[in-house]
Amino acid sequence: MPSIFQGKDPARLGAALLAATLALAGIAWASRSAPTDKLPDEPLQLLVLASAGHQDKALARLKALAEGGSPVARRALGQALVARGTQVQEGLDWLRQAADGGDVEADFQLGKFYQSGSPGAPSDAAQALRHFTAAAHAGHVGAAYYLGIAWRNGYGMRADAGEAARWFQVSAAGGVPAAQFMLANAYREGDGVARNDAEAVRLYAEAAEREHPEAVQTLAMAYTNGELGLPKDPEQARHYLMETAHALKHPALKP
Amino acid sequence: MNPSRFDLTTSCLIASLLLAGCGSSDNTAAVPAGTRTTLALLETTDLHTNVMSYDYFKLAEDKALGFERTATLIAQARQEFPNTLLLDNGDTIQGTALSDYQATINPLACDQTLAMYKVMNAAGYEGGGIGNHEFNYGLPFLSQVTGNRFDVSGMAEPAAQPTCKGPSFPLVLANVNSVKSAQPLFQPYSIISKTVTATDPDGKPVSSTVKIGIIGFTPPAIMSWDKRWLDGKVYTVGVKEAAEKYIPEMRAKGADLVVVISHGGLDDSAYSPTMENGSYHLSRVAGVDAMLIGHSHQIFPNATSTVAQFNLPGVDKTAGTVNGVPTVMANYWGKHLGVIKFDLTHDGKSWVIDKSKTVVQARSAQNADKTYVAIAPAIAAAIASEHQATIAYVKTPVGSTDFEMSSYFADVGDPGAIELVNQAQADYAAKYVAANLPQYASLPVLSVSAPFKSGFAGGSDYTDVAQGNMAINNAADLYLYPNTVYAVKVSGADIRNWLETAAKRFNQINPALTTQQELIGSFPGYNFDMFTSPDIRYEIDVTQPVGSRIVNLKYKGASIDPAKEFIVATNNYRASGGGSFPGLDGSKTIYASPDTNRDVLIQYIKTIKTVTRAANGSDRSWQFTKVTTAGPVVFHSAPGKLPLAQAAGLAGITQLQADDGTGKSLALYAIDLSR
Repeated sequence: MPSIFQGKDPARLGAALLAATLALAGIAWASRSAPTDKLPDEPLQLLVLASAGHQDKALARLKALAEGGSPVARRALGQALVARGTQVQEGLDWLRQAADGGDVEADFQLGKFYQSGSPGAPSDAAQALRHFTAAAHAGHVGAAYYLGIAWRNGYGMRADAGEAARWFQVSAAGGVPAAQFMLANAYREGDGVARNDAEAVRLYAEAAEREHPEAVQTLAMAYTNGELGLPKDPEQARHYLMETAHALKHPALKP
Repeated sequence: MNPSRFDLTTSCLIASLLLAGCGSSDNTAAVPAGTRTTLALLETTDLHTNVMSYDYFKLAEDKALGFERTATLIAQARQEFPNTLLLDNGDTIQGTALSDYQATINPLACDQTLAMYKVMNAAGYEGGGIGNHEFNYGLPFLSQVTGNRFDVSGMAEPAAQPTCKGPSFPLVLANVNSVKSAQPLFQPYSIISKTVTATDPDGKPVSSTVKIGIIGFTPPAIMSWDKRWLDGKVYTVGVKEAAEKYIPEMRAKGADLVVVISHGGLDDSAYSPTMENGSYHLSRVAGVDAMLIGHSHQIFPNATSTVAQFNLPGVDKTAGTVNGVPTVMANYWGKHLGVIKFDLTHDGKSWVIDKSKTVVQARSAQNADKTYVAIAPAIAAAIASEHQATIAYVKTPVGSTDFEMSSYFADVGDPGAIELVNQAQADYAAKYVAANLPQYASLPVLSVSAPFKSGFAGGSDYTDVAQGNMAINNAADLYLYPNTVYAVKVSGADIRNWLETAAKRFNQINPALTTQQELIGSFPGYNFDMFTSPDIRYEIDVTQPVGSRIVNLKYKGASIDPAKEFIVATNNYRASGGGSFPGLDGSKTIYASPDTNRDVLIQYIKTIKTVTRAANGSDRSWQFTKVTTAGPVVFHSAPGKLPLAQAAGLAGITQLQADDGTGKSLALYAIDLSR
């Protein structure tokens, strides 16, 4: 059978066929420039490349920046090393150096590390509390949430609903959905604050807008049963119930 | 006029009316300066495979949603605007029983097109983005249904992968890369050469070409949400960095317009490469002409919106601009169609937007009088077999029950509608712990659940699954909420506090009162958590005040050790703080599973096949502490259900009045607490 490619150089034909196949197949994008891409200078972008991206050259670049003294780079390097799981102690050292250099986020990350622990290193509530306290007092709204949790449960201290609500308030005002939800619960129950259904609803709605699944579900239940001073409203209830299912696929992430 | 051009235009218009898109062709002939045209970008977002106006759980029409109505909005827009470009924002291939059916129940063959993409092909889409939900079924499925061969670990080399059917339009995503190749998973952008009807400088109609570059972004938080599929395989790049890299490339390749398809809302907090909603920062990247956004299930522009993200500095919620960039968000489930109409004039080199004439709208499928626009019948016809197969799947028996599983008497001790849920949850959690959390392998795994449907809305507000076959849609009756299974690690003391809170369900009963006393208080049934296991036993003493009602709490026959640790399977709502139970606020969660309690229940029924009263509906962990009361203690449930209480082995219950007078189809029952 005569080929339309007759007489063409077989290598070029192969390349042309391959190119056509690639185009047709929608094969993974292959940019000519990408393999020689310059690494970014931004530590947080490098952190993504070094951790989730598993790129050693990004880690090396972060290390150079960290050794140059940047607290953000030190924190990012510490996070990357902890995330990679191979040099956890070195990572913690870099996080401590960053925190000592005034990087509040580094204190927060240390708090999270000691709270959850890691394979080989059990959690350490006292250390976590120390770092969360430092970060929260420096204005870190994520740390304020965890401090609220500690006060609510008495983790490392005597439980105090008023102190818990106070820290949830700080965190909620900073836009942390989990804290908005906990503070809403406190207003609903009168737990450390004066009972206030309207304020609870306002906070549930704020958390729901940020896709906090339990806040969305609370509104679904409230509209179903006419709770929290809301009217019984089957249409709203159904809307929030369906949104609950949706939000659960991508819940607001904890700080 | 050139007759062939006229024909092209006419056929294009006719095709538009029939919902087929106008063809695009590469017309590189020089365009005379002063040539004018308009182009309307049409956006859908978060369709979530709501092709039909249909609710697969209720097996009934739902006019409030569905692409078959959006299609009508698209047809109307095509009548109104001579040149349209239909684009989708993402969150497209997941979200209904239809999508589950095609992804997991009867997986789509390689040479077949997903139902959602079938109708989008028919509607003439010319491009789309990738949302976070596209990753919900994993990378191999996404690769297959989009017709993209991914170069990622865990999949064959691209050359060894088959080329499967995808949609007939390009999908773009610029901020997700393969770990293996460090290259974008999808093509980051595409340049669409759009044939348009235009007017030349002399006012004559001509055909011309506009090159529209589309570039897509998804929320970097996919790495958390779909960790089980994505960890170690892909990583995200900051949306701003990706835009700054590719948009100049798109311009260099001749894009007249750059349209950002960003599956994310607006957040003006400090930029971070991992922030979830990056669209606000994308608006500030040089060279962006329009943004089609989504993910938040909201409407933009919307002058009356109280949503925080549309009330930020630089956001004009009336005009539909973000830092001056025309932006639209078309709600979700096909409820709206986004429109950005540009007036364009050619300057001899490129098309230039006349910004004073840009129109941005989100058009609703609901009319002002609350009715909905008509459906486009071609949509349902295109996926009739998939739709019917999905309905058949939802109705398919997954097992059977030898007893009527109901919640009419759950408040007074019938575990018939709850024990199966607890068994399924405990089984699921125990298996997960054994396989993945060796540090907790020695801890007992228990489970709690509550009677979610407990008569609040009246006599029909109860779980009631008939004896006989059980189908998928029965699972929604047994488990009302779309929760996911969570496991918490708690102490014996925590369990006591948990049960004390649940026992708020009951009013405090005074045994000496001769008048009638209501047993059930205002504490909602959905918070009445209970165990239903032979391993754990307790009494609820309703004569005691809240906080001191749980007595004789025993684990395996011995008083529970307050310090002993247990794992309790529950749901995300309770584990994360719902109901304000002491100690439950997320801090004790050891496993936040991605699987819904409903799906876990369905799987459990499929495994055991036959549900029996003896094995799955008779383990009462709790009883009321026996007390003789001087007067009657009463509660309300649906009328005429006494035989069900008797079948459950509950003694001492009588029906006092078939109509309790509340007008809610409820009867008045009495319970003798001394029996």
